[in-house]
Amino acid sequence: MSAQVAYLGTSVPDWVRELLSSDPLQRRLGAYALGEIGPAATEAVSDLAAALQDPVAFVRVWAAAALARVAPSGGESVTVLIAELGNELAFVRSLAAWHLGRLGPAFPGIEQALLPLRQLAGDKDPSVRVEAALALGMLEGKGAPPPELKSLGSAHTI
Amino acid sequence: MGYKPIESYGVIGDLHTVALVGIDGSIDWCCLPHFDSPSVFAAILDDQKGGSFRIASLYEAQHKQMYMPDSNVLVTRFLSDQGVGEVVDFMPVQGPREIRKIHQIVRVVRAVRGSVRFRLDCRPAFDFARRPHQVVLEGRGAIFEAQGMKVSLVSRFPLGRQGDGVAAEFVLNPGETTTFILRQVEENGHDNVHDGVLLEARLVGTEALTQTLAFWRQWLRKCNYSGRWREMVHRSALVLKLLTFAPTGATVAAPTCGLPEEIGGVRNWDYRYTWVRDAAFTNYAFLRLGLTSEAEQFMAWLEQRAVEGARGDPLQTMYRIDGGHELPEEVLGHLDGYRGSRPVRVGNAAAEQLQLDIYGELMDAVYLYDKYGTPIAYDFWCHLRKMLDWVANNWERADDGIWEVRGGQQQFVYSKVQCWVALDRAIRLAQKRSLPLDRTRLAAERDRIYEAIMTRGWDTERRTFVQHFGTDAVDASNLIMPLVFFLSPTDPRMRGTLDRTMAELVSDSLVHRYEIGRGAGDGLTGSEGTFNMCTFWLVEALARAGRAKEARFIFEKMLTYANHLGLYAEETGPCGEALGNFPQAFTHIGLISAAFNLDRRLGVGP
Repeated sequence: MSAQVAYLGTSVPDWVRELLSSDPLQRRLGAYALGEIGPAATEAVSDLAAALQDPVAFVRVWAAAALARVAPSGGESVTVLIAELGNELAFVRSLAAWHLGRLGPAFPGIEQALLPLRQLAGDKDPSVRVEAALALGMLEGKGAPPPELKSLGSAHTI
Repeated sequence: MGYKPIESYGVIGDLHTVALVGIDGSIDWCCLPHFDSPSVFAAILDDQKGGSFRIASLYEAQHKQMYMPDSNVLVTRFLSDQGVGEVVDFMPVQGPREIRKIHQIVRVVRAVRGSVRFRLDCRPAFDFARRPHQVVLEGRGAIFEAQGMKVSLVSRFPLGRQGDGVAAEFVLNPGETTTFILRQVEENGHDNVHDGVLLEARLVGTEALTQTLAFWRQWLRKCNYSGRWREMVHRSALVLKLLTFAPTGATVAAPTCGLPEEIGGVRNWDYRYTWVRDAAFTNYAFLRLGLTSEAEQFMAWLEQRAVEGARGDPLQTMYRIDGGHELPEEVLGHLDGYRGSRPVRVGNAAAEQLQLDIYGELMDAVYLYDKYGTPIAYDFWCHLRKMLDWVANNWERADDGIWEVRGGQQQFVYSKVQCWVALDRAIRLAQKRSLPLDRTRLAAERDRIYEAIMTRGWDTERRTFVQHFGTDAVDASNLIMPLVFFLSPTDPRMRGTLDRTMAELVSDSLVHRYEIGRGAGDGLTGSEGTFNMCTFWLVEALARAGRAKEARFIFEKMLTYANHLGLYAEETGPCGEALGNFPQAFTHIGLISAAFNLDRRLGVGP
């Protein structure tokens, strides 16, 4: 993927400002945008790292996923995402599982996520179970989930 | 953004409305919640203001589009050196008993090969871009709220505000899938449902896909066509079903309005209504394919119109899909029109025209339904008889004709032929079912019509039937004569008409419906393309006249004018481009009928 210095026409400093917004949805968007900019957003690493402590869980998850793309060598992202697999909110657990799967089998330290993801097979929430299974497919299945046609019969949330 | 060729679109739908999906991944047309509702996306009518919802690969890519087999699930593909991405578009079809009416465009995006970077841009423009809206970003997507209507976009990826729309870029890893849902919900006839319902994220993307595929495949399984060109016939059947409004069984002539019959021209009509004529022909096509439940539902709709017709007033030429009568025509002056084709009209003033042919098409539909579907009920027959009385008393009137010309009424030959059909089918039906009818009177009127056509509708010198009494201009609609058994396909008069039509209205195998500037004018300037339905009528007329090889060549040639998905507009331009509203039921009906009859005449063999 070629590096880009802006996302949706907006540059890194403006997205960092979003990351510091009082609105958690704006903070989430800021984190996501910086992640999409990727390594070209290195100036935002410290702000993203700070966002891992955000009081809102889903912001923490998105910040961890973004940090993994901006500074992939750091190990914090996987740690935070694994921690959020145990969040009391089902959608946060599901979101964390999805992001872990998206990191891919080659991501440093991702092997630590396999066991916690397997443990989610017994989660009470179906979307968490599905996302965990899909993430495991991504991480254990040589980097690719089953082709779409094969998965037509299985449940899969958006 | 620019305009794409009309033929560069595929269509998806949920039997209440449709969306046109461009080969570039942009949804440029959708009216919600119904076919004839105001638009939410109308970039085909104004690429700046109209509104669109695009998901496309950000790579420089080749675009391809296909339907998943035997379905109306559309796959748009983006192929490049860096990767291959796909967007699978469909609209889940709800069961009739659901209290909450949900209309959804589901867009399943996936990377097939390599990692693919996509961009989403969703910018609705409510009420043909007349009604402003607010964008509210939510955790699960966004809500677009205009006065009287709310639409949500459910997204797993955070959406950023872009003007009065939203956008996102995202990367999918090889094999990875994500789903976006554009949703509108009606509850008890209103759409003021809780935002949580609008943004409900638990729609199971692949499960909905599985169910939607199963719906279309189960439906198509009932189709009994097994002749040549099966794929094209099936596609045409699927299009006709898509154009059917499930609550009433009525079919729209086409799901769009304002697409021009000539680029930059003024013939830009609203086809999102049910023409008695088109719907009756659709009924014929469904019956021909063994799809009797569609015919049954439509017959109930038609019976209501016959009840109205029995009150003594002429039938309207078209109705709203719910059976409503009001279709006031309005010009949308704020829209540029497709490639500058103005005016854009909504509503249709032709509803108020007198078009006598519709009685023939209606009665033929009833006759065929009684024959191939279910015998009609006595009460229905009583309404029909009153309507037939009206036909017997009024067939000598001038009317506006099948082409809805706006240049004044004439004694159109096609209208007379169809009045003959109306009385003929009634007499045949009464005979077959021993139903009460004033046979003597109707037979006398039927024969008077016949003689009138043979004397006043025939040009002895040019050896052809003409467009209307008192002109020497030809009209392709007369090709229908042998198709409705008005006269033998090998009758010298029909042979003469065929030859004259081919000499004067056919260009490179494609048929113009009439000569603009000659015969009855439509009161408008400019020109138009060739009329696809007429080309299929020519195929049938030739086939029935024993010229099957010639017919086959024209038919096969006509198939090449379908777009990459097998869809047709109303007309074809000189460079093979689609013109007019799209996709058009009339054309697909013509294809089905021509394929069926040509195949039968070709018999077994290649």
